[in-house]
Amino acid sequence: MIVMLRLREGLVGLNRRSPPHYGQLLLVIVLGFAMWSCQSRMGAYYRELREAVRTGCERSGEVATVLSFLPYAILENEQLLQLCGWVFNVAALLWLSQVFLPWSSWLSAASFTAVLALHWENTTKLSHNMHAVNMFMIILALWYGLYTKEIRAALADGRFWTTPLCPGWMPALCVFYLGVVYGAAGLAKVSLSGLEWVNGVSLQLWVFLFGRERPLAEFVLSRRDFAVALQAVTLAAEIAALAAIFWRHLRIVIGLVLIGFHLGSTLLIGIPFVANVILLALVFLPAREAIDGFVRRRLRPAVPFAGVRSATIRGRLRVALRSRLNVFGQWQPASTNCVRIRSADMESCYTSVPDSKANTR
Amino acid sequence: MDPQSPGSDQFLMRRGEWIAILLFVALNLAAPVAQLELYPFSRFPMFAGTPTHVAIYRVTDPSGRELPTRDFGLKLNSDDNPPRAGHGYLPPPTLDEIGAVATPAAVRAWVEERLASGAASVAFVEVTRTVYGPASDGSFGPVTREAWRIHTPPQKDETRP
Repeated sequence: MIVMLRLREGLVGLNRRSPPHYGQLLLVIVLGFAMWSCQSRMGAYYRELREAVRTGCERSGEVATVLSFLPYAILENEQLLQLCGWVFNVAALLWLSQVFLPWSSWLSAASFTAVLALHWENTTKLSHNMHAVNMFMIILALWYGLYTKEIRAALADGRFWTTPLCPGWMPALCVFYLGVVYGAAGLAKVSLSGLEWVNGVSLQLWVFLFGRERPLAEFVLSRRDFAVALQAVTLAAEIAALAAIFWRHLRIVIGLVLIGFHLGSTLLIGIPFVANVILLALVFLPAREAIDGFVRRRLRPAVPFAGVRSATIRGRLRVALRSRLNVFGQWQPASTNCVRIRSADMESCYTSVPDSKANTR
Repeated sequence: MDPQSPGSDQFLMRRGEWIAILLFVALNLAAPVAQLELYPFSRFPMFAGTPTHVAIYRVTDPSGRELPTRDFGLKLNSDDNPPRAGHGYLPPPTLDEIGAVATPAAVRAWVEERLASGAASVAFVEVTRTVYGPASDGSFGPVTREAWRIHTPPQKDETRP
């Protein structure tokens, strides 16, 4: 009975739409990390590293990425990687500006995946610090792709921020993905090593190899019981992340523990997973509820109007800019008859509403 | 409030949304089961092993000058992921893998092979190995230290009658 109730609540939640503030915050953060990662993979350091690998190492012959089916001549083409990087940079900026939807969103997700995949195809070691960013970008691209009509209409009418455009399934997929990521990591440890993984020695070994100069390293290296405790908490939190997909209160606890795990591993071993820490905070902790609540208190009600149109490019750009910056609906059209006006009259159509709490209900 | 009534935040999901959600969930569950690493899908197996010991090698020439361990295949492969998974190329071959400590005979044979193929133009090299592992008092540190002098094998004279 409780399971059925929870299932019903979950389905209702998937159908619920809210204003796009939370989704936009996720989008900015995800694209920010992606652009930083893309720039670094395109840069001289990694370019030279890939060149050295291509000339000095043997091909593994294994399937490594979703692009592994391509011929080696294509996978090893450095110009292709650079081109995908530039396509991503441009597409991401267009997506952030809400232009050329949904193509900018799909192109961003596809080109970023291609850049990273091509990079891993030309290296001798894999890092997992951009997997979550990549998959979140795909989720956000799905949102934009499936809601293009509504988003474009809302942008054209200047009511993007006041319209419920963010479906409940978007943050739900983010929760699902992070739960699966950490759950899979925990299950991988158990399936390879069993509960023997919690022996403290392996953590001491990794700390010795990667972080013996770091603060607290000496403490971990000299106290195996402390290392065992850290490994036990980590493994329990990772496996519990699977249950946290379905249970909100557990998710908060597991989110805090996993954030602590990442901060600890950065401190002890020097492996930064900054993106994962921020995504965990936004997805596993009640950030969405906090943001939705904050927005609800500040949001002005949407004023339906025929839409502001301008005959000039400058006027249209100004409308587009205001539409995107009108985060709390603070700029309202003065009249419902503002149609087909020149740009000189644009100011009279938008007035800044005084910040009065009495007017917000 | 009824779904889709004015002011309601409840909407009925469209078929396309259901398909997208189910496809996303299915791919993220099925792909890692089928393949350990298939970027952007993964089973996230990093640090899944339980290595207990690690060896650090040092190679010097007859004058005591340190030589790159990479040239002798003794540079530590510090990858925490399963081997051959998730990357298109293999790392340079090395005898020094985390959790695996080679026997002295294996080290000698390995270095001799590299000296014979011209890793260094010296008569011999001094190879020092420190193995780190768990101590009985709960700490982690050096447990053994060994050193070998390994001579360059003589070149086979191909013109010998």
